[in-house]
Amino acid sequence: MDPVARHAPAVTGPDPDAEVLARVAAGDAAAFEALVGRHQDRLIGVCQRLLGDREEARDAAQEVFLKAFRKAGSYRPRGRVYTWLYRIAANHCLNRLRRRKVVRFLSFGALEPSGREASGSGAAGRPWDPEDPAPGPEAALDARRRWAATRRAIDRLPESQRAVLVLAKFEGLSYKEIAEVLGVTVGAVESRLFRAMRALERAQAAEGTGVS
Amino acid sequence: MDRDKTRPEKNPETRRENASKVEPGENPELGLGIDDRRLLRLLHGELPPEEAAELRRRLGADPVAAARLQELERLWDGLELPPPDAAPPGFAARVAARAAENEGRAWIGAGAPFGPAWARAAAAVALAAGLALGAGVGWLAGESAPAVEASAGTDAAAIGEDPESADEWAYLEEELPTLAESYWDAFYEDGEEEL
Repeated sequence: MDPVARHAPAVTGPDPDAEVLARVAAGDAAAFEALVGRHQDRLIGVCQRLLGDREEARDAAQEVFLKAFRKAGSYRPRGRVYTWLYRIAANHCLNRLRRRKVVRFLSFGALEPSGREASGSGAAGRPWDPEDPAPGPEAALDARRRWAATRRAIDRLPESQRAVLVLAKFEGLSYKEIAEVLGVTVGAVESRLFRAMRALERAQAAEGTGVS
Repeated sequence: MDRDKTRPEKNPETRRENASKVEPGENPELGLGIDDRRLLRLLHGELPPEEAAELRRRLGADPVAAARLQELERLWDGLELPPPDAAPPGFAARVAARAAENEGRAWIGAGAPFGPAWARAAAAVALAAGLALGAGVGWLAGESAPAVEASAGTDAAAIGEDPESADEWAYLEEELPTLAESYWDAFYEDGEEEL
């Protein structure tokens, strides 16, 4: 694949969501519902990929939209509305991840990855049930193994690297957009992505030699 | 307790030593200027077109670097997660209804007995306790924690929280362990940010 084709074309021109958000700030309930409708899949998706848990992702996405609703009036257009929403979502999810660590520590649990999808399972051990277009059970099993391996690898990353990796790989954001979402420099994005890739490489090499 | 020494990755000596190492994955045999970070930029379409073309030209003459790019591309393409769930039917309507319901709730106002001044004082005491807790958590976690773009103030600013509202009380209550960790990180520069 041509590397330059990996990202979606840069969004240019006026942001249609800016007008919708302005109406939300003015108390237009229908505008808010429309805004949620436009971005619900995107935000549920990024929450799911960051948190690794379907139900928690839906709850998180709901909380993110409610925060956006409360703060629509204080939105200052520095980028697109969707990067503002991503920012709220990333902060919210990263806080949840940090809180998980503290809760596990307090309950003397092992500081392990979320575990919810370590074996390809969703919340409460329910297995992912992919809407699997692949032909045959063999392909479905392979897909699950790859998903589980990716989930394990991502869950081992520090939150900052996890966020950058998810936003770059699975949300298709550019470095500049990621920097805007996370409130860091483009250099920091590049650095974190480089470290994430290095960590993934080491983990892959370790699994290959049988060391967990 | 010398805090610097309790977190090895914060020890200046360790950091200097680590900074000078050739990191695994940074192939020292690659030509000058062709390091993993540049290859990743090429892979992610982050180089300006002329630079990308020039790099591809150099890779054509450098099989080691070209092989490294292929390794990175395999690693990147090998990352797969299941397609995320679509929003359940009625999600937008439910969220809108909840937002409307929240708007209608009676919040604790400034004049009430348990108004913001009292709440902030109590939160400050709790936060101080949380800092001590966060110190242990941060060290035991053993990871380089993320640089703080989300201290209480900046996190609140990033999401536009109104510190005068009762939201902040609920926010502090909920986020206290996170804030404790964040304040810990703010105290230490963890070196993740490269400005």
